[in-house]
Amino acid sequence: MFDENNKYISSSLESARQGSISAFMNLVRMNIGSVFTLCLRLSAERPKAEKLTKEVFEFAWSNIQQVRTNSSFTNWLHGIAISHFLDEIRKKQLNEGKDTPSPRRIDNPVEFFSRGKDDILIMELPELQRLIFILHDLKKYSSQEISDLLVTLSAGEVKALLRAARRTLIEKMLK
Amino acid sequence: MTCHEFNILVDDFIDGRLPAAHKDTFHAHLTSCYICQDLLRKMQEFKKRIDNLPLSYEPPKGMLERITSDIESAAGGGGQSAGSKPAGDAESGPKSFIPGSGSRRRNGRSNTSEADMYRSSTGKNKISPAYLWGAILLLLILLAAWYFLLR
Repeated sequence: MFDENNKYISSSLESARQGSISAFMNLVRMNIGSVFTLCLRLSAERPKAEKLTKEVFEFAWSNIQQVRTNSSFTNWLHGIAISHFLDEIRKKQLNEGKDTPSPRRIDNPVEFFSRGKDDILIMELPELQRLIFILHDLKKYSSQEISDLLVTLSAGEVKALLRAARRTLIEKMLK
Repeated sequence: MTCHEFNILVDDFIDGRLPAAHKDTFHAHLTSCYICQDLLRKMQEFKKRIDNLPLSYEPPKGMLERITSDIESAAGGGGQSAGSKPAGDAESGPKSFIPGSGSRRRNGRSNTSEADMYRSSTGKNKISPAYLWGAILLLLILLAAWYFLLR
């Protein structure tokens, strides 16, 4: 079953690389939920998450030739989402200069998180802490990899922010 | 080891990255400190909850359709179904949409350049041989008429 699924993804990917929109849309259908979830966790705002999700798939379609057939298409999409979100943060940091707390901005959290209220707590973290937490604990990036991505923070500073995020979440989740 | 030091190292322990040099002192402190035992228990419970977060939520209604429509439009097949093969699908599809290439618009749609790219890639904007032969024939007729008129 797993092999059949992999074969289907590989053949859809190959057809999409040759220009088939319908094959690409099959891949979109398979991945839209996980990409949207990641975008929502990263941005903590539904309209931004929708916009980011759309950008991810548009970028993926325009760069479909760059996907290696032996790598995970889902991971590639998630990488695009993270990279686009980091671009947004960099632009914002240039304007604002520091990390700001994220107020709860999900317009209807129950709609999305009826199965996982912990997600709402993650979204209440300050933006930089939230990003580091998601990259480290959910996407399994190392502190050094996050430091390389963020450029302005050392691995030690990444670890300190991760610790702060975890302590905040532990306090709220396990109270 | 102090509780403060333990508090810093417990994250590495949870991540399975506790440096070997700290292992003995870490465990020695753990067995003797109830506060740090409680912290470790909470950290383990927290990790379990985080690892069980859903991988995927249902996307908003209509989102898939909007993405489909935008990508089809960008590929030059606006209004056609995903299963159809719009102009430029195979030839100019993915390449025509590269950000910063000048052919992409902010909303993912492009103007006539999509159609232009399709025509140039398939050679449809070149002069067809039939038109060329027609023009040559017309020129010959005019030359013949001019010759007979001069006589």
